Amino acid sequence: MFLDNRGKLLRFLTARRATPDEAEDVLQDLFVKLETHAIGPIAEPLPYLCRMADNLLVDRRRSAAARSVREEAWMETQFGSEVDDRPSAERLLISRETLAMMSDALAQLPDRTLTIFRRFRIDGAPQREIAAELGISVSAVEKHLHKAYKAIVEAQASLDGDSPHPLRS
Amino acid sequence: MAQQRQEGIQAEAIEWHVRLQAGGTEDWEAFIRWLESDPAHSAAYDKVKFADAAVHPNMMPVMGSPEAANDEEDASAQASGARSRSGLWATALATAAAIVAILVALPWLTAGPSRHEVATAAGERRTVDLGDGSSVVLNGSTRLILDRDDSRYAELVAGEATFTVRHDEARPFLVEAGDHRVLDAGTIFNLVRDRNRFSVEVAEGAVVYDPGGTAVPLAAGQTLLVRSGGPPVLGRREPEDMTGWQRGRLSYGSVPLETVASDLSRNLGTEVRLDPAVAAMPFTGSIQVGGDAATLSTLASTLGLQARRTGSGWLIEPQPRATR
Repeated sequence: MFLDNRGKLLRFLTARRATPDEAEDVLQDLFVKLETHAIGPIAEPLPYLCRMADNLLVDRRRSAAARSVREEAWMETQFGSEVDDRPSAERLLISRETLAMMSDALAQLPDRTLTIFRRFRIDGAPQREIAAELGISVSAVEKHLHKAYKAIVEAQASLDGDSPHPLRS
Repeated sequence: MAQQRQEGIQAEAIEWHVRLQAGGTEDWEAFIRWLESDPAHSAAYDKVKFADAAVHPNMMPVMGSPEAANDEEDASAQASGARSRSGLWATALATAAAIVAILVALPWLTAGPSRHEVATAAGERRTVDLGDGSSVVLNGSTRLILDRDDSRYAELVAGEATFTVRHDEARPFLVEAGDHRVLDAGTIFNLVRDRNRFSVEVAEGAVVYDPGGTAVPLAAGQTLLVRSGGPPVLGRREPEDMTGWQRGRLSYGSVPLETVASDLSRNLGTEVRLDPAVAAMPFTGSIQVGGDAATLSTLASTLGLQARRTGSGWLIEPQPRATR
């Protein structure tokens, strides 16, 4: 399954702007995961593999971003103006700040949008199911989800100083 | 105009994220083409994925009680960014205050006769009912201190345990492990305390790590790892992998082999040691825990190493060169 789709996965990772090294690492991780997980036959392997590869890539990028924040904090303690003996706490506070901004943004959304977002993101309910529960169309569900995601992406961007790319490296 | 274009791309990225959740082959192929059509697309999609990954169940007010009371400091909060506080944070702070009260009360609880230890031998498993609908599963070589007078408290002295805690706003559940404190918010979470590692993994619901200090909220799927003296590191793990040890399955993503060895010692009930040359080797994958010999030799050969029985247990070491 992996080998049949390796080319497509590489194309996907390249399109996701992974460096060749990054792509190789992700494919290696993915391969090991598949080898050891004893996964049964899957009707549509590509979506399954792409989703896994994308998650691995996002994880790597998130921890790289976290690391650079941590290193920056460390640099500050070594050479910088502020003396802070807890660079790690600093990093965690930053992530707490992001969460606070995001929950503020969510709190301002209408109840219905929040309910739909919660069903989708926390409970993992398919859109069709949410639509049926609330007696609305799937495209209406999509609109609510769009609104919720827009709110949290903007909240996050306001903390990142609205840099065009969330990563520093 | 550039601004407008940027917003358009961001909106498309959100649409893709929403659509791909249940996307089929054609959706993914179309998505790849979209990514390839403009280098800015991937970055915009990253922003959505980052925001999505940071979402925490407690961010959303509980349905049916819409008391979103962020009144006065709204404007200044938005301006400074640093001091913003929604309903959740007000709650978190209130809980933190409650914890301070609990911690103050601890010294005399510690000494009280109501505290007792529950322990397992290596390789043993045990489920303990904590009363009030909560329970804890102990992995092998684990020691836990419970309090008969306070069913909402436990101390992990050593080892690994999965807590399934019934939520009670008025009486949050607190677990201590040395200097580490974890406060639950109605949840299933796994803790490991080793000689040089403390880890929290949240399978369901949410917990707060270090409630009196940095108060880091952890949502389902999130992990926090502290290696001796190091800073806490946040990560992610599939919730089903976290409690996999209860079904004899250990799963890892890029952890040092020594972590795997210490988990295996606990699960197999035999000491698994590592040659120093391989202790830091990264390991990704899952292990089905069976007999000592089968489990360890499979693991070792997957990594191009060998497992050898020694006096009291097993040693995993590099293979002699001639056999490869």
